[in-house]
Amino acid sequence: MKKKYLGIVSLIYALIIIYTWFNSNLNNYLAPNMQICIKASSIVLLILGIISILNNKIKFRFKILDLVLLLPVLALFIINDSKLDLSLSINRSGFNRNKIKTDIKVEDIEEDYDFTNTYFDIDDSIYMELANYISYGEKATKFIGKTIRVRGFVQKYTSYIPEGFFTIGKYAVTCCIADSEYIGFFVKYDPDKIKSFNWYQIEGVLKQGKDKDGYNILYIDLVNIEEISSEEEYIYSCDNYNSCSKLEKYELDY
Amino acid sequence: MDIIKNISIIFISIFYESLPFLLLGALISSIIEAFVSDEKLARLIPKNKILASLVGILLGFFIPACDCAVIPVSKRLIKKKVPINVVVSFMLASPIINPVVLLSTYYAFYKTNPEIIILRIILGIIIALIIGIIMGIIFNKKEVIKEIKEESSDDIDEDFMELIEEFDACKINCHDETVNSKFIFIVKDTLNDLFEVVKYLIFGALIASTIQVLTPRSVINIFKNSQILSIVALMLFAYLISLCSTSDSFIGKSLINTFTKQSVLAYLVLGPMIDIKNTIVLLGNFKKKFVLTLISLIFIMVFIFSILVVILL
Repeated sequence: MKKKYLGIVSLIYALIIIYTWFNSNLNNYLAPNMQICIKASSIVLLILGIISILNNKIKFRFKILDLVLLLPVLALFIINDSKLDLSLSINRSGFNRNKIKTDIKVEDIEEDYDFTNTYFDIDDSIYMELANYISYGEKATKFIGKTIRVRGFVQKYTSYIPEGFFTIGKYAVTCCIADSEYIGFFVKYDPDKIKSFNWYQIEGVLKQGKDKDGYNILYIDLVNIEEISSEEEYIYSCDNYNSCSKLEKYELDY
Repeated sequence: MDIIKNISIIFISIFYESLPFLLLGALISSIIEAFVSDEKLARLIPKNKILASLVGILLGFFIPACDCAVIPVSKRLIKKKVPINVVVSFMLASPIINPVVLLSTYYAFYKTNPEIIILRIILGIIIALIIGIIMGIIFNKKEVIKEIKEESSDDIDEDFMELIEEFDACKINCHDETVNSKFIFIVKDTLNDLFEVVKYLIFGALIASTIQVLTPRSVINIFKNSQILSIVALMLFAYLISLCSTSDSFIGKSLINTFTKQSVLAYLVLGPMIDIKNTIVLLGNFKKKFVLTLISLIFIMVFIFSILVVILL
């Protein structure tokens, strides 16, 4: 048995990957586009494991350090299908700044808003692109005055959020959860009226204000807010949802 | 408990992201061993050191290896007597100039900062070339691979030696039986190589995920106003966060609004060449002096070239 242990580890790795795959939990670690690699690896590991166990010429020498190879199994056991804590988003945010320095003069933003036909109705499939664009796209000011509806979990009173604002967002995942980043929108509203890391749907209008460093930011001037039950906290780029064409109508110029 | 859970989640995500590339690297490395003789490899490499390093860089373009997969391949190349300068140039350039990384860099920056794409490639190649040559001079004909004591005198090695003798015979005259034993060799060698690297990947990924959970990323924001400090801060950030080179461009893109272009460039060049995860993997496979010299040279060169970009652009 000892001389076959690498074959056994290979089989164990294949099985934990297949287990995660068939429980639809790979999204909790990798962006859908990246999953093909680990799925293919599980098949290769399965084949390598079986061959090395069945073939008498393949033997390995066991060393005590090799026990660390079982740590991923222990980690999966600890995780037990859970996702990143929402409070960890504080550690994974605070980069994105809009560097627009000139104020845009906006005339006559209407006061009666029609949210039955919201201009930006942001679902997960276009969340990452629109949140990034509106947060720090230099030409996003053309959207000032547009109505917006978005869902997410909120942060308040963290160092990068100006007074009288909170943020609503989700974890954006490019390749894997290790690169995830909390992205979203500044919202002008009394932070004391909401609970940190709870889930809300908000509706409002995009306006321009200042961040703590004096740079202009686009924020959502809140009109309606509703507490909602928790949603998928990870979002991926639009090509993972085959939804990039939905962005065309916004004519995002960079 | 939540901290351990968060660390475990990030750890598994790094593990699942890197494992396919390590497997690919181990497979390529075993196939090289089984099918390419030392002599054949030696013939491919020019005598001129600069040309030889350029061949290493070119190899980096054609072998689709990210920063994780290059290590088993590099170790094999050194064992097969490929000169150190060629292997180091390959090892450093491959994670920057391989097609997958080029594509992700292109997508991240072509709209906003196309110059970053070109500068990342140019700096990657120049630094890989220079460090390759310096390492070649310092470690010329010195042993750089860590000895693994296991292969000594028990029955496992007798079987293994038997296998090796069989394909040595196969290199001259192959028949079905030896083709079969070649296949068995690839299976054994791939698993051996893979888990020798995975062990250290596990340590590296654990450290990287612990750092990610315990340190707020925004801590580097305090350096954003100084040109030089922001370069150093983003180099350290790249080293500690240990992202795969296929995904680091997108984080780089979000940094560019807060930091200078040159410091983001330093992050994009240093990260694929070395990070904490790969340091652990390298230390498990190469001699300490080799690894520490390599890391110091990478930090020094990336810093110097980033400053040069500040002065010139």
